[in-house]
Amino acid sequence: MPPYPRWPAACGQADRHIVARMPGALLIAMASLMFCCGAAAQPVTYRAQVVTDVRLDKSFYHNAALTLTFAADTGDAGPALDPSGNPVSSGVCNFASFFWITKGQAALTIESHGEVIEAAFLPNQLFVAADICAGGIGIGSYVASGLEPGYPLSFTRGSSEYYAGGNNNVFAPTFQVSGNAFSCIGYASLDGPGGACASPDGYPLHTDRGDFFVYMPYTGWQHNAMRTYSLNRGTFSAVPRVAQDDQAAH
Amino acid sequence: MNTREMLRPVRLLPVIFLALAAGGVRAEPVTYTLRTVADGALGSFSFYEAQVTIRLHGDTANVATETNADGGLVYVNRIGQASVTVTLGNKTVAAHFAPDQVYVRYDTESGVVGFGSPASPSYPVALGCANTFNLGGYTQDCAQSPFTLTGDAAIYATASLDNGLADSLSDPSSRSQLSAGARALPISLSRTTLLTGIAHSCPAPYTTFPYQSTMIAIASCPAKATLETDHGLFYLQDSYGFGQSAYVDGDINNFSLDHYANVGALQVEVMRRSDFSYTLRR
Repeated sequence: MPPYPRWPAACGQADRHIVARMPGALLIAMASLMFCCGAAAQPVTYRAQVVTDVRLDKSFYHNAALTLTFAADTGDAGPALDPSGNPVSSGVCNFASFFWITKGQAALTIESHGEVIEAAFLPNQLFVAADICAGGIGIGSYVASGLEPGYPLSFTRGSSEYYAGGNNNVFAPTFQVSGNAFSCIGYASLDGPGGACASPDGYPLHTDRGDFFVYMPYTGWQHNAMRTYSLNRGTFSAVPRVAQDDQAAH
Repeated sequence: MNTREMLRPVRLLPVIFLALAAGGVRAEPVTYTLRTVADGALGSFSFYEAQVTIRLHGDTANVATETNADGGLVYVNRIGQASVTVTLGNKTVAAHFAPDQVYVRYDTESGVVGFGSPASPSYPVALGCANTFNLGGYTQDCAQSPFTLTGDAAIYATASLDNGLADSLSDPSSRSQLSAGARALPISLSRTTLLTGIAHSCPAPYTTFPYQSTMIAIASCPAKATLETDHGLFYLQDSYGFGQSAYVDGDINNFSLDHYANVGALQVEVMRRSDFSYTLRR
């Protein structure tokens, strides 16, 4: 667990109470201000990896090594907004704690039994998001509810939670973390009896090789917390992108 | 002959059965791939919180069975070509291990799985080791999973958010809490499966130190053990290992230390393509 930079009093109870009374516009301004500092614009590729079940077009792959990438620029990071333009809270802290980068190019690689399959996502489906209150980070999408940070692949617990929690430079150009892997539509509904993620079958992500789905077959049920949890683990990283990477991509 | 000795042949029956079953598996190529994040060095490349992938290409015919200290079944595969890849930002360094440096080990009773070496059966990486703290101190135990703990320690181990597939599958009493997909995973090194858990990357027990006034925190790895590769010596040594504080005051005298630790996954992929990659027909 590395000593990543953190806000000194992130998620502190006093902070939550103060922030909860603030008007939305002020919250957005504050969040933007907090997020602006220390992060010079830099091309970065964010990479999420896990072994799980996936489907691309009509081909299903059991326990395939999946890599999702999102080529972005750190200068495009900002507070996540719901469709009405309001800042998004994690539900754990009562202040705008979700940040994202929506501008970028996303792609996938599936490795299964010696075969490597690559595809590019069509635009405007995915984003990189982080919840700096609860401590989560990953690649989310606009499917289902319109804002699904847990699908197609996000992480919490492990070093990913320690890294993301209270980190005002969470979209740094270089880091590697590991965590519990979620490919969950309806992450917020995991709490409570019967909590479960929705099947992704009704929510295709569109690629240049057909529709794409990520499944979450490995879960458990925690009685004392009344919550479904993930038994899968994966990694999330950021790699600085140099000019020749962009030239090769075009 | 005491009762324990009398029961020993009975306790070994499942081991014998599973060993025979394992022996009957057809010889097929298999790749074991463990992915995690860790600290260490590979040759002259020192890294901190880097992506580490250790891989062994072998054959299912070489999966052997052993027993642990309690008589539980342990699968090992010691024969194959092993490699390590370390990625930190834009830099990636890859190397092949010298012969007999690492092997795959899966203790099915404790639910601890990973790569072992001459330094330790749980080093360079083990997934699913137990970590507990109580008034007696911190215990790292790669011979048992959180599910095999008893007493106070078990309170925080049962169905924890931090338990992965490796230790959850080893506990018969928790299987009803697992999804159908998890329950269907083979407990095997000879069949395609997935095993996950907290990652230990240290040849010795982690250390702790006081944190604030009432807690201990931040266990680190106090030792390193080098393994030979064609790119120089390789070792893993967690700088910050486990970050969860443990309360040492009042009634909360035991707490998981796992919360912020790096985690990992071991993918067992038997190269029998027709069985595992197919076209959906709906």
